Amino acid sequence: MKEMSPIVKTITKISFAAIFLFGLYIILHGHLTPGGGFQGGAIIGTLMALYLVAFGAVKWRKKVLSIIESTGLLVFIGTGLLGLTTGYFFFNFIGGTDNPIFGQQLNGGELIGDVAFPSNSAPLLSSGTISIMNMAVGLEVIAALTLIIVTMGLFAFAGSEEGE
Amino acid sequence: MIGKGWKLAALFLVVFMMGFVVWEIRDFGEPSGKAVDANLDDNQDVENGMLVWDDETGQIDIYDETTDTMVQQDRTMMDDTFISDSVDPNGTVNANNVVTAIVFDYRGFDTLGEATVLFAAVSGVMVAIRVAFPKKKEEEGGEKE
Repeated sequence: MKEMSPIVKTITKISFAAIFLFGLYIILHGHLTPGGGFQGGAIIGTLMALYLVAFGAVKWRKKVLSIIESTGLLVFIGTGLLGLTTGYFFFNFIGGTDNPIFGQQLNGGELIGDVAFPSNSAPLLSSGTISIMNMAVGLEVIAALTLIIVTMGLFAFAGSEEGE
Repeated sequence: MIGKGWKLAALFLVVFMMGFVVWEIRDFGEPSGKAVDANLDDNQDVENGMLVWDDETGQIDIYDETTDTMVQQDRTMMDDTFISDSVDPNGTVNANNVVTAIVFDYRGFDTLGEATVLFAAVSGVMVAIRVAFPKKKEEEGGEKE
């Protein structure tokens, strides 16, 4: 697959970091703001599609992407299974335990005037297993969408692909 | 024969685990009565009440036995349970956000299924491409690391 024009490549280079950071933000703040693992992963997967279109078929490490995808799904299932030790499947056994990592206390919302603002006002490292599962799903979606796009892109341009 | 035995054992294990899970969470569906006690702004407290289904509004009303009146709730009991459990700092969900609590806790199996579907889709694409291009597999980028 041939590269596109220098205009497209320059625009892609400029916007790469911004889009990547935005996707990471959506994933990491999934338990506080609208969005989550799926949405942030879709953003970064789309960024990879843009990269593939602009720069052609460079060497992608598909094995690494496969490992990342499997790791994401296994972490998700494992976090759900670990809840069985203290409760039931998907039991949030970290949240609210004053653990500095993912266990910080929520403040329960505050009343400003007559309107309650319960959401978006908690520390980032709160919510226990929900944060962990968000990140696991984000990792899995990033790897999965990138893998699909890369594989199908290589399939579409298999005749002229040189692999750089 | 041995293969069939292993399959049967695995099937029994899965059925046993599902039955165990169902047995563990069997009282999850019982009404907790939390909504009646909830001190939320626009919901009236009822001392001796009984839940009655309202056909017109499609919500659960509370019949107040002491005053012999029907008390309409702006939010249903399920709404109140979800809201108070999700935002409660000492609750079991600890999500601070009702949508997150639904997606990753109450409906966690749904998210698990979505992730599994995505995984299966990727596996299918990879298998199809490998079957379609068996000889060019080494030329495709990154296969050899």
